[in-house]
Amino acid sequence: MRLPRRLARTWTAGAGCALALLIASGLGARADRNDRTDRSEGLRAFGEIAKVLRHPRCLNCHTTTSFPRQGDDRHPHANLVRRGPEDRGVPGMACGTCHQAENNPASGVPGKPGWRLAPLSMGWEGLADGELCRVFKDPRRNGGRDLPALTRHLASDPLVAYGWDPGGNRQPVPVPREELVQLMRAWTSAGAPCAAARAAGAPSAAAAAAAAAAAAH
Amino acid sequence: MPRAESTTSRRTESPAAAPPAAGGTSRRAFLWSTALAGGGLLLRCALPAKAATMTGAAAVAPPAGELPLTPWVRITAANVVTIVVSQAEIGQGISTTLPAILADELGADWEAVQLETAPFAPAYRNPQRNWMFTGNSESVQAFYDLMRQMGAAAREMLVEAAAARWGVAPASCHAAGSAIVHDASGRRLTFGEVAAEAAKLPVPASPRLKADAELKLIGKPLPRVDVPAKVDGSARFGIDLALPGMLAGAVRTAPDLLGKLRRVEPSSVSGMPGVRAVVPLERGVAVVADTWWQARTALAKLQVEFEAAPDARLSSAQIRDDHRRILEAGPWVTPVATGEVEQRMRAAAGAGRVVTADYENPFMAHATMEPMNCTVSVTPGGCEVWAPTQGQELAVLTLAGVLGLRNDQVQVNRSPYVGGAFGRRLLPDFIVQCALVSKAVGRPVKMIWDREEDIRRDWFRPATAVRLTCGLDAAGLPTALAARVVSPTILLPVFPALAPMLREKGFDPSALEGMLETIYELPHRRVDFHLWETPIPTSVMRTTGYGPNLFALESFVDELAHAAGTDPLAYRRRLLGKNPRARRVLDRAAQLAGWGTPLPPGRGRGLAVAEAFGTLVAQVIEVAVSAPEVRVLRVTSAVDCGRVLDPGIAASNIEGGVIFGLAYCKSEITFDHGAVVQSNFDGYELPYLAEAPELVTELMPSGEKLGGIGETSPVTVSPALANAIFAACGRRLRAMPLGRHGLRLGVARPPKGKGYA
Amino acid sequence: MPSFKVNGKVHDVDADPGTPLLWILREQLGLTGTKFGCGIARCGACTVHVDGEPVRSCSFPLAAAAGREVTTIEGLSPDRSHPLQRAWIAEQVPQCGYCQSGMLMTAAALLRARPRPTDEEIDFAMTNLCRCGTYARVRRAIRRASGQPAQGAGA
Repeated sequence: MRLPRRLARTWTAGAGCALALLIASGLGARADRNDRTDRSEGLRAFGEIAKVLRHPRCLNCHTTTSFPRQGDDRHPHANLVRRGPEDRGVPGMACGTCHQAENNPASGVPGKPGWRLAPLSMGWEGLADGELCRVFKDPRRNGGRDLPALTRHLASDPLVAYGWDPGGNRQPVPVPREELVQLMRAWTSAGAPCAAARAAGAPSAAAAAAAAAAAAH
Repeated sequence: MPRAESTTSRRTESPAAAPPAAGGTSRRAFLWSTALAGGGLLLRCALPAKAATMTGAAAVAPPAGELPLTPWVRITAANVVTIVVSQAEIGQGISTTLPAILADELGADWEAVQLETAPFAPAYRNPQRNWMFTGNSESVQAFYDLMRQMGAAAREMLVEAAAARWGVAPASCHAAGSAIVHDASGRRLTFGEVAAEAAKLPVPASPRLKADAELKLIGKPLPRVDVPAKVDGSARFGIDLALPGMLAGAVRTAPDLLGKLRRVEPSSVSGMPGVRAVVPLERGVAVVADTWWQARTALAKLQVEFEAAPDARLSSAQIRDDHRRILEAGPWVTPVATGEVEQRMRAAAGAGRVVTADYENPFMAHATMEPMNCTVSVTPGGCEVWAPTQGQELAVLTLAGVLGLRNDQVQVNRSPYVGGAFGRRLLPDFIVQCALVSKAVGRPVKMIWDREEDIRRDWFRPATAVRLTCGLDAAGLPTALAARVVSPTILLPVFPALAPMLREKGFDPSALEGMLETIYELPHRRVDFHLWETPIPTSVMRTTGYGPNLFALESFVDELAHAAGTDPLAYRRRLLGKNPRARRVLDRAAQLAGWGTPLPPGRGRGLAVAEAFGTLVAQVIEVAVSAPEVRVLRVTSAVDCGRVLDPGIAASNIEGGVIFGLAYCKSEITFDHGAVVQSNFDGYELPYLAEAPELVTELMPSGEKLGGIGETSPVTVSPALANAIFAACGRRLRAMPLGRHGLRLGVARPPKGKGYA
Repeated sequence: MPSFKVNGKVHDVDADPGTPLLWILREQLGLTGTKFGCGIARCGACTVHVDGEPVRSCSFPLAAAAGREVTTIEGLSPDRSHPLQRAWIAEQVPQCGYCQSGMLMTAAALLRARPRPTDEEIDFAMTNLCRCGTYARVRRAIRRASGQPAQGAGA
């Protein structure tokens, strides 16, 4: 079996880490050509999904910090907005102070029902594909959702709908919603594979921070 | 507490939804008028005409021999004492302080006094300028003596009338609590009971002023008269005005600063709810509707084309290049040349001891919280205005000219509350625009600029460039100082009569404030000025020339101190040998701030001292720098304004001014291809409460001449902050705002709690 | 058209349902204590309460007010007796005063949720802009209204 160079480095890095990666990436000893095809298609599907997850419309409120971000340049949210103890802003300055159930063409302020930040456990900032993928499908890090629930969440959650209806001059996420649902199904049926970690088996600093935050949560 | 007029029941202003009032009643009666119904007496006090000190005043001075008769006080038979407030209450507290001065001399019961906003009338002109306006931090300085005299004169007339009725000597009586008391017998007559007789008496030319010990209000921290109405929503600002039969207007001007209206299609909004008219203007278009929101909604749908006027020269980069080129090449006029600057510079250069540094100040927008707005009714015979304004007189003159009316056909009423001003409301541009719209539709119209118009169509504090060059002696102390200042005019738009001087002498004295004179002992000094021509509208803004020039000078002095290896406090003290007032505030600010005590790494203290608006201010700013964040931890201000008339109000002005000064360091207005880049608080960010430092403020009256307060404390913030940042991390900021250096304001108190940190 | 309560009184308003609540309050109901500052929910001058929660009314459409209870500065108390209003007077907070209605409404919402707010709860709740710079006194007044000593307010 020829391992990609990156993975080969990983292999030598440490048995426990490598094992975890192998399990997670589905590259077991029984891997055959079909599995590999499924896997590569699944990875390709997740790559498309990740474009949505990483898009500012989603990522700006899936932060790993005590504050949300704004805009395509992802600057810290104006008005020193804080996440707050329940991810809905702080007393006196809640998300709902400005964001209502619909986009507001008068003020330009976007809105959807239940406007809030994702919990810290669901923070995605700074994650490479593989890390993002594992966080995304980990029920401890995705709000307790299995794969079908995740798909339903993306398909019909009214707050998630913001990605496709951002209002104003904001760019929607780059993949149509129906297509995203198809990608979720393709990824799921391929075994929901995740790419291997980047280098030396060490999670990125951001991933470590996200994991620590998740643990704290 | 005295009742400001907007809290009295005499006001019968109707809400917007109310039907127009029945005819026959003066519209003004529905608004801010305060004419008393019957029994009112006017104590008309003569005010000797003063020589105009501003060139422009001659144009509006009363005819020879005519004395301004000044109705400052009215008293009814029922003993209601009404004092007129000539100055705009723009947040500085003047509507408390000036009438309190008068009431104190008068012996009126302050709690029962009624206050009234002055109409435009020559009597209410600033007596030092002979011009009716509110600004330049000089309301107290200009009106203090007059208020004392008017109060004392009225008191003497009332006392004389009472004494005559009793057949006793006036000297045996005194006034207190809005009554006259005969000291020996204890007999008492209210002001109202003798007002009719008092009004027939001649006005004493030089009434006795009370001794300090007799004063009960002056010098005390009085509760502001405007505060109660500002905590329950009842304070009516200009934007809150409702006039019977009034329509509302919204305006959009060309995106390019010099763009003009090319074409508008009124039919594109006809039939929209409430829409009454589309009024083309030179640079924009107004939609007039029943409500402002209807007008604004239609405006967004209106088919309108503007002439594009892209201008590559109108860009911030180009402006900076221009300034740098001018700093090298001039040409210059030289308003100050004292001592032997050239010889000393040559000598210092020979010894390799000449230092020079260039400083830049950014364009800034006033961004008053209440956007520009105005209500005007233009009729064939006249024009009546209700406006949140600082500049009633300029508004009258300008409107008369634009509308082809006589001055006396124009009435400009000032709203009793004004939502911030900072110099912006000295200008009549928004009033004229509203008048043109009212004239076009033949109805009273209230125009409200949205924030985008308010910022893009500001008359900005201009970007300026300052080059400072200094020859040093062996100890690193300056032997000569040369300054070059590049600035457009800031004073001309608010005082058009400056024009001849600007033409003949080529410099704007306001743009050179803080440079024409200096607190430091620098006898060999030269100041060059280049009047930078720009199509960008520029005008005065809180701190006027002092802010930009003293950012340069106080930064430069700090640089000289560090270059000499001397503590910046000690260095300044050596240059202030002949200025004990400056040394006193400097020493006190340093002491209060713990100057010289050790700080943890990343922290620093910066110092600045200035004389501005007749007041000495020294400031120490303590910062914590962790790039890109600059956290301003504490700002200590020591202020000597000569005499403190109200320590509470003075302190609030100093405190607020510090935050205003931080705004000069936080944001800027930029230009790109002929357009203003920022248009709201998203691009033009003001400081937040969380970024506000701890404030330590000490007033140090010296008994010297009264100085201004409102604009003083922001003057020293930019240099003190730059100096503090240098102390903290070694970076020298020669331009503001912080963003030019990849820095930004951080929160003063870093959060720790869950979801906050 | 939706009916809703403002300061305890039921209103039926005839206006476009997209009209910001701010302009309904100001132009239809004559409640001008609520101020227009930016129109983009940045300055907070238009802050009111909807069902007790702070809302920037320039960004809150009339349609969303249906069936809900709105409180404006005029309804904070009938007689300036709200602890915050008293504290605002005691600390002499306002200067020009234009932002203060919104400032008070935000503070009132903060105190309802946190009767004794910490410094950081004050700092990050109070994001209303004040051009006159009354922030130090706002901090002090909130501490005073919540029965806490001014010390520690950082100003």
